[in-house]
Amino acid sequence: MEDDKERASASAPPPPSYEEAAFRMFGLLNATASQPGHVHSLRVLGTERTRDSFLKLATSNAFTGMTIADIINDVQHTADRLQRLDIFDSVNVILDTSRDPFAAKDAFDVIFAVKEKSRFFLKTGTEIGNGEGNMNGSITVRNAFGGAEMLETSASFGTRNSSAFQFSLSRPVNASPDARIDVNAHSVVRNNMMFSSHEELVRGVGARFKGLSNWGFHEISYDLSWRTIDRIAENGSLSIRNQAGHSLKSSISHSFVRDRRDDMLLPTKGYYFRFTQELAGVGKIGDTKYLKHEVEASIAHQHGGGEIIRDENGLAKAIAPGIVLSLNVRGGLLATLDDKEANISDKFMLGGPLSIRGFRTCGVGPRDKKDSLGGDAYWATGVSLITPLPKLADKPLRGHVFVNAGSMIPWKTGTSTSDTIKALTASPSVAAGFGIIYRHSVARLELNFCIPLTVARGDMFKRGFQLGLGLNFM
Amino acid sequence: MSRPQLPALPTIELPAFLEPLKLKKFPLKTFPATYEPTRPTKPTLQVFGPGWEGKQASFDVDCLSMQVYLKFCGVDFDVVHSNEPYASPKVKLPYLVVPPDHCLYGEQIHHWLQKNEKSKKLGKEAEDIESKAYVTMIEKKLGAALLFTLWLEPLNASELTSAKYFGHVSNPIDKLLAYRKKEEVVQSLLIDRDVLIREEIYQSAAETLSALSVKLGANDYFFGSDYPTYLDAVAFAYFHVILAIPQITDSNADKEAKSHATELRNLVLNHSNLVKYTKKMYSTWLK
Repeated sequence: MEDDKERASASAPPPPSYEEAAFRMFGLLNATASQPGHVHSLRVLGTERTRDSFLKLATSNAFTGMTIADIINDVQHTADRLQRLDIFDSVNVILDTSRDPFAAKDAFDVIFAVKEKSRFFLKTGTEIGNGEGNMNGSITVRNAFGGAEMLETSASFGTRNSSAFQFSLSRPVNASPDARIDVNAHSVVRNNMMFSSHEELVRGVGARFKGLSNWGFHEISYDLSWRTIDRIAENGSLSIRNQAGHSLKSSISHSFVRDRRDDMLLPTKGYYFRFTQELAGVGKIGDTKYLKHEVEASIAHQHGGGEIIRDENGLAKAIAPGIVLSLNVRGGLLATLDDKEANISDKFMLGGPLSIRGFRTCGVGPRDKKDSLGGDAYWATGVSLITPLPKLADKPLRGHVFVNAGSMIPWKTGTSTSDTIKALTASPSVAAGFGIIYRHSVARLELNFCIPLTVARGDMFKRGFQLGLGLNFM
Repeated sequence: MSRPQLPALPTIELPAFLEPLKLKKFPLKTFPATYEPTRPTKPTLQVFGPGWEGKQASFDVDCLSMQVYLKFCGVDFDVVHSNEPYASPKVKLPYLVVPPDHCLYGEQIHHWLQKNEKSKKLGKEAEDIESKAYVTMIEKKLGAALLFTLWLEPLNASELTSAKYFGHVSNPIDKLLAYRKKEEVVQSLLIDRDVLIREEIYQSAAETLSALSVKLGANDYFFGSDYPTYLDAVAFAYFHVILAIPQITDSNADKEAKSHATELRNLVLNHSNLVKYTKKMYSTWLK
């Protein structure tokens, strides 16, 4: 105590420091951690719309602790779960010895004081995604039926998706913030005029489960959609004309993501892995039958860096980013399960600033005149060396040199492996170049100078400057 | 109104030492294409098909009239049963693909025929104009009756027509499309009339058929021509489509509905010269 007083009189800043309080708190906790205790009662204050049964389920984990340490951990964990359900603005925890006169000696009362988020949520905005921009509006009803259900209706109008309407109703599974199921209905008009001379109208309904496992993030979904390819451009190619018309797809898909990167847009270390499978033709519904696999992996490795960059006053500004080597590999295979050719809406597209730089969007692979037809099998890879710029190391700005390569081919089910490999390696499209990367808080922007090295005949390549805007770069 | 001409943008010549920046030398190597699209080697007519009983003749009047007219004109062409109007530039079948990959539709086909001096016209100018009037009459009067028979006679619509037009689309979208098409037909018929009355529509079809029967007489072709013209193509297409619709033999069906379904067919059958003409045309040009 004397120490405290001395310090208080000696220096100007107020003394009751956070560290001190924390230190004492830890001391107290350490002393009592292993003492027995149990949760006698749990109350959630401040709820109006949330159902009791739902809260019971969401807080059931708080009762298991047998020692004070366990109780504190469990309660903290439960508060964190409540917070992540996205229905409360704040969750405050009060832990006290039980006031119940009949309670045992080591009993505790837990009180969660919460504040519910407003129920209706209106949002309008503009968004930038992978190579597309849109403006959108949505109405969200949070906690619609008192069980953290989310009712979302959204509309958007953009460059790639001319118009999109979506409705979804989701709810957590077992009151867990990490697992949700939803049902959705959507109607989207995709404008593929730029690279495939047509528009695609998709209407559908689906159900989805999103959850975490020990390995990573999973999404399992069923989708029933009616696709119409129409509005073929006056000068559209014959291959695109042959694709026109209606198709019905009933598919289940599973996608698995393990993301261990330190940053989504501009990682410096860690790895990312995604694996997606889709089986179409489920339940003998529809005229689209195929099995589709797609895999993507990337790894980033940092050399040097880590030093603290200080400004002229000697205050820390940023941490030196060092030189990052990043490697990205993608591949996909679509196998039709009947003798029909796959629909262009299901095929893969390759090329563009986000996949193979130095080629136009969907500029690699099968093509008829200026129309990209999509492919059934592809591979693509990219190596980038990302370096800080002199004097700008503290800014989210980097320079990079890269080499991208890939190839996409039409593929028929039953083609032998050796033939497939031959076709995939016969005409690689390769480009190299350098550029600047700007990491904005919502997207990554790249300005590159690209030099196509080898192309397949018909590829739409782009010499010189290319601008890329998106989230998932290669 | 023409837009004001903007001054041309200045063209900047790159200095010679910057020429390498254009990267003319790149790409260094061009590999063979990963896919070679197949191109038609001769004109291809995209139609609804195949016709009833798997025959080459289309079941759609517009398609069939163009199909047979191209034969009249001596065009060497293939018929493709695409069944997909969305593939056409005008969202309507038929359309003609001319090598390498030009798509022609409607009037464009006639222009193309004229340019290649293949189109068949009647010798006299006055007759040619009159024949155009006949084509319009057939398309309007007989066309309305045919649409009514195909889409609004419940027996035909549900048992025959829907399956023919939308059979290639998967269930249940085909039902939806058929329903939409029916609505469209009703709307198109209501453009010319206030109410749809079966008797009225068939009556005017009967009058048209009588007029055509008189005009044809005992000749091989209309206007006593030595060779068939576009009028013959259109007239034949209508007669053939009407006569080719299978008769529903299902005994469970309502008797009245059955007689309605074949009413238009019976109207054509009343004119023996038209029936003979249709049979002869079919065996000459489509077999």
